[in-house]
Amino acid sequence: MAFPISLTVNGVRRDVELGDPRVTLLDLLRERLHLTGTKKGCDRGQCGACTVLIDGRRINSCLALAVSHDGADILTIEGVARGDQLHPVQAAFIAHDGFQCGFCTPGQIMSAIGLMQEGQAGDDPERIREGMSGNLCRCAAYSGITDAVLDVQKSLVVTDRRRSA
Amino acid sequence: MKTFDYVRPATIADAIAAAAEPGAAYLAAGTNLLDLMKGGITHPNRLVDVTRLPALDRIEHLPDGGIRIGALVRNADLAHDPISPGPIPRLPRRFCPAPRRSFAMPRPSAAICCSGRDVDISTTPPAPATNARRARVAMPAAARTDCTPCSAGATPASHPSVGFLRAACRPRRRRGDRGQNRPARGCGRGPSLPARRHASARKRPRAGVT
Repeated sequence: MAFPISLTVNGVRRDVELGDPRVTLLDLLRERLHLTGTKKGCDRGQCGACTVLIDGRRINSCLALAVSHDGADILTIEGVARGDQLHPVQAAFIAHDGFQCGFCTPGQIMSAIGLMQEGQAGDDPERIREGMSGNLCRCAAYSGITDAVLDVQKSLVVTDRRRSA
Repeated sequence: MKTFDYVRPATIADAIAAAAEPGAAYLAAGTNLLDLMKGGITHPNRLVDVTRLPALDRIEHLPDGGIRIGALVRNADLAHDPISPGPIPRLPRRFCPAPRRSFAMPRPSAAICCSGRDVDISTTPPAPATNARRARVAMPAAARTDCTPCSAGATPASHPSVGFLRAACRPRRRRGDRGQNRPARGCGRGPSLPARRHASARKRPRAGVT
């Protein structure tokens, strides 16, 4: 039995026919749509390397059935930069050495973007660490990751204050 | 993972009917279910996708002081919802059963498998010695997304709480309490282990991701 689904991935509509309902969103992105920026780490929802945004929410794509997300708007790491201009979070990760091997980085960046959109963390490092605690880094670059997210958050807070002033 | 049949009903009644078949399981976000399926711990024949069911994603305050949490309310939304100033100040924290590392998947707080059971736990007020700020909320076992579908044939008409669970206050268990003041378990097993561990490990409100 075939399951035709339609997704918007990084702003582009993609129609896919799934031959099997067991296909996870992660496998669909990597194997069918060849968007290999999203990484398969543990494949069990524990490491966060596969984090993508679905309708603005961060989720572990390894534990999401593709067929269940028919019609969803998905943002992956491939869709965050504008051409050669990096997303502020990407730039901050580079500036603060927020990675070593880089395998967890796409998930970390997507998670950081999701965290900021949720608007719950503010510029409190402890809350940022809590909010990013679903993304593991085997290289233990947490210090740089927190600094990077904090940096972007602070600039956002400053921008918000200027707007409201 | 064993292959399965996938259906996506449009109404609660259809969902209950679709899940009446032995070996069926409800699929909401799937964070728990898929993990168990990948590990070969559970192997449903059919997944009933309830994510598109209408009107189950609300948090409502009831006239009797209770709070009704729709089965499709995501834990992250619940954790961020400002229901805390009411009589159940720590409710959001109690509905964060996932280990902290798994926050990235916002998952529904319950599946509609609550339907066949009476999940309307008694609204016993906290013990006199326990003030409102200390009230804790039991997380009914029925809130688990991996519980087996109801076969009792409950319908929204016969069970007004179909698709919902209602939580009630219960006294906080004090540290060192060996059981004499231990509150009676509400519906099944009480808070999940991670929730209990979480509650004892943290003293300030969490950032609210699940």
